Amino acid sequence: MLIVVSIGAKFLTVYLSSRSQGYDTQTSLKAAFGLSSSGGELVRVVAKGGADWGPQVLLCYQ
Amino acid sequence: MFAEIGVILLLFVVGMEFPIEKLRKIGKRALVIAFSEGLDTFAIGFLVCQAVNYSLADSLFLALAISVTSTVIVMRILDELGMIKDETSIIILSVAVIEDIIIISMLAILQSVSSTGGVYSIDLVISIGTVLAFIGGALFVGSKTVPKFVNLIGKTNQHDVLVVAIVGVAFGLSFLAFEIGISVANGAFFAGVLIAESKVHSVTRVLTSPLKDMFGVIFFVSMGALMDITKIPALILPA
Repeated sequence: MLIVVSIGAKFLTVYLSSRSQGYDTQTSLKAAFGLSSSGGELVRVVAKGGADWGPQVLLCYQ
Repeated sequence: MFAEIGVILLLFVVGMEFPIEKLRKIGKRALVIAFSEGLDTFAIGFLVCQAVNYSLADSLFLALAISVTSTVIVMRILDELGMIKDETSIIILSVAVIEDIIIISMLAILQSVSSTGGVYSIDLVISIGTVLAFIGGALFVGSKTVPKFVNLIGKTNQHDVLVVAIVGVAFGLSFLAFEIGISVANGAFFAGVLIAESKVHSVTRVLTSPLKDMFGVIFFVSMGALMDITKIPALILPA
């Protein structure tokens, strides 16, 4: 569920904000697709920060 | 460790496609997109986590975790599709860099709240200031020194020395980024941006491509190795 929420929210906000900044539909769609993915190495930093405090669920998400 | 080297070399080579002028052109618009994406995803993620009864702490950190974009994977795909020089790639990369700054700032806020029970503006100012100082220093000081240094090495026509010098710049800035709590990918990216300002950037791209490909593969293998398939049944629904 979180994956769907993450992809959906990112896609929608990037598409709408790109359009509002004057980019055409095709460029906005491509940027939205490109920026929809979650993860990357910064997630490990966030997970570490969260796990230090207590939310162990983050280590599973990572 | 090899995976980290892969990330550094991949983003370094990607950075070579983005000279400073190219990034400057898109700056303001990328700022708007990055803020709306990062903050909206965080807010929506938090609300959904609360709706499925995660605790406040879990919800905050999970929302922050899903707000992060995987720059390395996206850039690798765009590179393979031959789209790395497209306007879209410049938007994606600019947004990803700004987003990293937002995420690091938000992490500082959450950690401040979690450890002290309140938001301390001094911690926040230090955290944001450090990140901005790194980027400012890399772009303003770096652009005046690194291209000259690389041009000087390039004049010797010693390719082995040139490889050592540019990889040294990439790892040096990555190490600096790591030390101040930013992603090493950001440090490597800015190293690539600085090398792009030199006269020998096309030679350096050819020289570093085999290294990028070799360590890039190891990065993707290690990403797969991180996956623990025994946890899938328990996590499939919330994930």
